Amino acid sequence: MGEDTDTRKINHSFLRDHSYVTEADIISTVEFNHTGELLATGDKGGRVVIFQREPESKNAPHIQGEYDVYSTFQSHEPEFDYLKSLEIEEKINKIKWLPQQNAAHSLLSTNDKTIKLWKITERDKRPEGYNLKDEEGKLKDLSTVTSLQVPVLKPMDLMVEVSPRRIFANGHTYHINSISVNSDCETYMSADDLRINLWHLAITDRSFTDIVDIKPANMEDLTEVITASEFHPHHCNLFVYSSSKGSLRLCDMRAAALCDKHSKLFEEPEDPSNRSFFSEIISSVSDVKFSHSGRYMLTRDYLTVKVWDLNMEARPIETYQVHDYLRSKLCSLYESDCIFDKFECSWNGSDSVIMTGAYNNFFRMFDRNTKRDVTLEASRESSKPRAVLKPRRVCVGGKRRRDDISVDSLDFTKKILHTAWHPAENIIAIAATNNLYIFQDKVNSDMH
Amino acid sequence: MSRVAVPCPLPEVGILVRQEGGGLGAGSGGALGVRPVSPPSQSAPRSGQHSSQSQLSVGLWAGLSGPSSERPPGRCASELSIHPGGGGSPRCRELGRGFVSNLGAERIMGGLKRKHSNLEEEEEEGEKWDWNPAGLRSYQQALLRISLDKVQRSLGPRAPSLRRHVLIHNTLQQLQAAIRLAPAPALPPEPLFLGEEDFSLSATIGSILRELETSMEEPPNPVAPADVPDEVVMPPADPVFLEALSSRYLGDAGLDDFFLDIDTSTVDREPTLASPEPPRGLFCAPGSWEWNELDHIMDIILGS
Repeated sequence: MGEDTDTRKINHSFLRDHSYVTEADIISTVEFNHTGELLATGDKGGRVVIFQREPESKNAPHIQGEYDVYSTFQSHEPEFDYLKSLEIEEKINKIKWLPQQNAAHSLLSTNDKTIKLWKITERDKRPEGYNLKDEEGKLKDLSTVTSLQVPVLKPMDLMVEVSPRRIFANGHTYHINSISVNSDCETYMSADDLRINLWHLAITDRSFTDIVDIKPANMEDLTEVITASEFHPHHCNLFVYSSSKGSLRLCDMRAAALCDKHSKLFEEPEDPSNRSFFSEIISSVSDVKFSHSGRYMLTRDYLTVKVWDLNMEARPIETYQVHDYLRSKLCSLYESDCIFDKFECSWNGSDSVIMTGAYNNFFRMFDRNTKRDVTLEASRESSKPRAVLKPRRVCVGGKRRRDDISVDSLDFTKKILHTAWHPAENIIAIAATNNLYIFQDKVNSDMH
Repeated sequence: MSRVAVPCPLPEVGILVRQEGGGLGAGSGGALGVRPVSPPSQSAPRSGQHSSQSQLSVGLWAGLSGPSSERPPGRCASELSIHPGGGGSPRCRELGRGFVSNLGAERIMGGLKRKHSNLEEEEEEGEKWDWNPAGLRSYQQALLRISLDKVQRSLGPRAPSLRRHVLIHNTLQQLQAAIRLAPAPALPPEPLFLGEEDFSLSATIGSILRELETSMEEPPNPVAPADVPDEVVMPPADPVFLEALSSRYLGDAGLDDFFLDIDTSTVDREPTLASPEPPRGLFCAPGSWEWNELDHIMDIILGS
């Protein structure tokens, strides 16, 4: 115990320099479960931390809605591929919750190569009063046993147990970028740069491999990769995948075993006035999400978020500028590799507001109905407990208001790549490097 | 709890939450998966009490960690505990490695920055194609340099990101095409200096330079350091460029199955690097600043 304290003290001072971030603690994915009761985060060190929302309590109504740590476990370990002399990172790329079917919770977590199904169970009772064993588990001296008793279940402090139920390995040659659970709750898909696999949750030794395969016969001809994919929330036969060239392909698994021929291709023609050497890079879609209704898709590329109607392939129905002021900085962003950052995007529960992250620990929200948008910041310095988040503004020259940030003073190392929105309420989870922020809409907090 | 009705105003509150994982006893490096939230003696806040460990909150009632509290140690305590025997945990070592290579990258980038420090100004005038040819040329060459530098730096113990590779490759192809189309001003070609150890890299860059030269229609290399050998002009073929580019920084990194069609026999990664043909490319004088720059690059690539 003393050891642990000392370790924590050491780590305290180690981390006191705010510019030093333990790389293993960098959050790499955030995901609410289907009820919003649980929130899972994965990090670069291969760990998963699950938070649980405290239930409302009459004694302390003001505490309702807090998320506390529920469980922590090591999901993936670093591996080494001896054949290729390559390290396989333990970083958790994605977590997806399975719909809850019994008292246990289940989630899928994946790194670059291996997907694991975890089962999370609670134990809050334990049997006491065994006949043959005493309280510590040691066998009793039988001569002392004079009567039989029936063991009874007594309450105990809650114990959360996490165990790996399935390990789906060796399904991918390239790096897995997404996983998505089908609405049938029996299958899920995993996508890497060139292929998409379909798995059955109960079967690990094989997958229905390659429902999509875009690997060219000659790798020299490779010009496009898969960047994200997702199942339709209601139609178990439909899924979408996005590409590095900015296109979306909606596929129907009923049409063919190999869904190379997409059902629909969604692509916006390029704007010739904005053409540059970086046009393709900034058009690369980093995330795609179906709306809860299933009618729309949301995509994120480097500078914009776009809403697509499934019935209109020619162009998105809405386009929102996330940080257009970066358009004149693309060369330096290319140089610093920032142009390859993969931002995620989210819908709110009613599909009326969309959210995505940006740099300088800013994140943006767009109200589709009122067309208003806001920039907020997730940082310790700018947020005191109980304070209302102040809208931020980036100025691009010209008149500058008092609290504006100029483009040149943006911190590009502080990027918000991963965000999540509670499925029903206005609660959002923002991952800022190694910190997790959870914000709630004060205005609507009483409306339930 | 009813769903929030539409239209909902934009959320305005932010209550700071801090991640405070693991502090509830995740320190037991025990069997995979079975981790009690805490030993019974340090009961976690399950019975309605909130220990000081629980640092996350939502809403106006944050009341937990104020802005002054440190980043929670719990999450990393178990993972980053200082192992007896020194050396730090594997993650600490890994991180140290990352720092070193980042410094190296900065040295390179410093060099590159010197060469195109006014790029952003040029860029902000609008990335249009109606610049004066010299400005456009220097911009393109700078982009070329940056792209090649990325190619070099994508080597490492981990397989490079295929998406990044493809995007950089496509950008390089665009640059090539643009350079071929653009008018050729009377500029001396700026050679990229290479060491003879890295044949494949020199082939890559050599072939790009040949593309530049053929497009500029100039005699090869009028400005040459003393010991530049005569170049053997190779056909300015895209396959050469692609082959060297691909095989160097993907094929040999272990993803050989990508490039089954490519003959990578000339780019084997033996330590002695005995190449069957005389190295092509340009050499620099030892002791010059380019040699030192190259040294830095090679150090990083070879991971020394």
